[in-house]
Amino acid sequence: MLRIDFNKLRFLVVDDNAHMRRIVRTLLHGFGAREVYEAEDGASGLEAFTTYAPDIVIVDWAMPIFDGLELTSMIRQPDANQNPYVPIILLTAHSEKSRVIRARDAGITEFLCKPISAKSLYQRVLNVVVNPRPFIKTKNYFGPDRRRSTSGNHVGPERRKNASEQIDIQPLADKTRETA
Amino acid sequence: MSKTPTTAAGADEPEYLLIMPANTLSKKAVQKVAGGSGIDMTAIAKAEKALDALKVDFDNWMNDEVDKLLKAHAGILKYGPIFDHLQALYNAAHDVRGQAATFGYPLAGSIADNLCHYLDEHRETGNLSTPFIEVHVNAIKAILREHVRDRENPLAVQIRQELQDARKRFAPETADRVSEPITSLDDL
Repeated sequence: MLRIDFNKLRFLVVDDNAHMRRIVRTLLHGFGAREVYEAEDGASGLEAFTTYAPDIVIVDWAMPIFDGLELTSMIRQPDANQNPYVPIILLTAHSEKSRVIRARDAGITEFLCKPISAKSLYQRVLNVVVNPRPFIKTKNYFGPDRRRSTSGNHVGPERRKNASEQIDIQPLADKTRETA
Repeated sequence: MSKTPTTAAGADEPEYLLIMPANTLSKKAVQKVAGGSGIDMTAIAKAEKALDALKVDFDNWMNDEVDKLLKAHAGILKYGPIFDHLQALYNAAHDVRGQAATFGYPLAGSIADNLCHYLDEHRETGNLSTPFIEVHVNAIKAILREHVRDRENPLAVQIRQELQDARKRFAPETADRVSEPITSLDDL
């Protein structure tokens, strides 16, 4: 069995609803996390992301100033000084397919539908820690590979067929905070 | 570890770049534990216990969320379904649908979900039935007032029936959300 040592991970929770922030923080502390930072809107979330360099960001969709998808787009800047590969878990009650596709296309790593549960949150964290997704950079997109099926039976336009591909192993040496 | 990027022959600029970020989180935070399989249920049980300790506050928090809904609805009753008040109502209903089940009121969450779905479909067209909105708001208010936590509670059954009747009267062209909610990117 794989066990996550939450004590080694730094979280940032960005949600305008104080009750939801409290619930998420309580669950993360319950898992064993010690470092859980909070922000109540997209702007302060971006500032906290820069200041605290979290390992994992948990973000709400609907927020003042700029929302969770806008925050995701701001983080997913390939040349940013901060870690643009940081796992972003979108926690939202928007569960309509069209909305979830928008969120995926904004560059989120995982989607977690409210109501939240300890098990669903744990599973998302486990997934981003144990199975990090490769990133794709094109003219119009930078973010986790949006093809999640491993069957190879891709449905939709085959944009990668015959396209030139470049593979880069990103060491992240200058993209992540140094850990003590 | 890094590898010199390679580019397909004949292409100066690749159409896409596949990047494999180093798995730093796994290295520092994952332990292999002998025995057991799947996920760490002990950690989940601890988190659930921590959440249980918050439950004494849940009714107050639900009250806060429903108060926001009632205030937003009062704005619509006073000024009509204009943009700002509709947005406030949508935001409040959205918060209720996301949190009511956690607070112990799953039926309120489902009703708020249907209200959001209705607003999503109709607020752009302006073809909104304020009585239909009001039935939803009143149903959520009643659920909280009467502490209806169980969907099979007689009052819950009555509320669901009243909502169905209201739909026939005020919004016969609108259906509740029929598609299953997406709960994971793997569902896409």
